[in-house]
Formats: sequence, C-alpha cells, structure tokens
Amino acid sequence: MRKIVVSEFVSLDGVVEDPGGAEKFKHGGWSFKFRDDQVPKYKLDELSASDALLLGRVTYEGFAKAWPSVKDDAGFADKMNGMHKYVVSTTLKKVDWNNSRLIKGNIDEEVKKLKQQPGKDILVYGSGKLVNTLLKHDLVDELRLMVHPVVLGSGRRLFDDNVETMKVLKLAESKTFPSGIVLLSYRPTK
Amino acid sequence: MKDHIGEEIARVKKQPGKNLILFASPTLGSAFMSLDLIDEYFFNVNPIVLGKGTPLFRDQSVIRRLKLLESKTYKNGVVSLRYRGAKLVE
Repeated sequence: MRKIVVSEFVSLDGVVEDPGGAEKFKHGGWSFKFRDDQVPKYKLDELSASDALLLGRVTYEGFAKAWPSVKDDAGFADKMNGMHKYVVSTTLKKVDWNNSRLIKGNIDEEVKKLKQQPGKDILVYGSGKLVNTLLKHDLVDELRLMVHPVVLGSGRRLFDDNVETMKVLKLAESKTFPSGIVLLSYRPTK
Repeated sequence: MKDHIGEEIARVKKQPGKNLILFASPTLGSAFMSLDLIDEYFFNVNPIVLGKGTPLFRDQSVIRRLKLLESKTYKNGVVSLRYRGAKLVE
C-alpha cells in the first residue's frame, strides 16, 4: 500500500506558516534564510520517492501560484509541476495547476482509496489543517519535521489546539544538516 | 525578584560562578528570551503530539536565529537539542 508521508518545514517554536513566502504571513519565506547544500538533495530524494502530492487549500494556492514559473537544473520544479496533485477543499470550484484534482469531502475514504492504488508515496507538504485531519483518521504513515533553528514568535503552528486526541509517535530517524536544521522523522502509533 | 528582571539577572550573570540554569515555564522562558538573557537552550523533544497547552516563545517581537550546537537521540525517541542563544534577524 502507498504511504502517506507528511513533510513539514517547522520553526523551533512549532510554526509552519508560510515557509516559502507565498501566503502573505509577515515572516513569510523564513525557510530561505537557511542555506544548506545537503537539504536540496534530501528534498529531491524525498520527492523522487513520491508520485503524488496531497495538499490543503492554502498550501495548494501558494504552490499553484509559484511553481508553474519555476525552473531548476535538478528538475525539482518539473517534477512538482508534472506529478498528480490531490487538493482537499470544500470551497475551491476548480484547480488549474497541471494534473490537479479536487477532493471535496469524505477525506477519510478518498485518501484510503488513493493509498490502495498502485504507485509511490503520497507526499503532503504544509497543509496544516489537513495534516491534523489525516492524523486523526490514522492515515499518516510518516511525519517528517525539518526543524529550523529559528524562533519566529508568532504564526500558525502545526498542532494549534485543534487536535482532539493525543498522539504518541515513534521516532524513526533523526538527522542533522550543516545549517543546523534537524530532521525528525516519526511514525504515528495506532 | 519582583521587577527589573533584565537588570537583576544581568547583575547575577556578572558575578563569579558557574552557569545558571533556568528550568523555565513557557511564560518565563519567553520573557527571558525577549530580554536577551539566554546564552544556551536545551530542548528535549518528546515523541508525542499534545495539540493543546502553552507553547514556548509566543509573542516575540523579533525573529531570532539560533545556532545548533548538538543533537542527541535517545532510545525512547526523545531527541535532545542544544542551541546557542539568539542572534537577531532583521
């Protein structure tokens, strides 16, 4: 069965809002302050192990605005633009980014169906609200937090008072990057 | 100490002696951070999502960038992270 892999850029104080700067958060683009020659390779490997993105509305809108005009030598953008995108939203009417499909409801069932299809991992970037829903339904197979050595002091956090139940996780991997970013990779226990 | 915490702590820091440890509540930790009083941070990240509770370092007026000094992983899944104190960004 395909895995759902959640991969987040998170600050030391747990903020996940707008690391890429497309969402008008006052500290938007904070992840770009960290130059690191190993992170791009890690992110590319992660993307290459996947053939679909599962996104919430806010993250989708930021990505759909930014990625179509991006080009890079490593082919990261081509892969982002080419791969399947599943967008969870009750308000969007259509999704124009290449190869995108809307999921309007029954998230639990729809995601279970996706997991049963043949293919590689399904990757979730950002999408804080969706991640909490996926965790609640035990649909997350791996939760990767790239903890950046910065305190933002404000902004939306990944687990902002909206997770109803406590989740115990199992640490699968931890890795330190030269810039001081720490990857913490967890598997939820059911 | 009832007030002028910044000055009081700065005075204590200048006295001879070993390091001072602040076993901080989130509120006091945030206040000390705002006052630039912290030289090193130790965090033990426990493998659990609580989804409620008082988070660390709310209501900071500036972004602070820290320097990772050390990370250690324990068998029970706790990751211990040590950082050098805040450098202001912008």
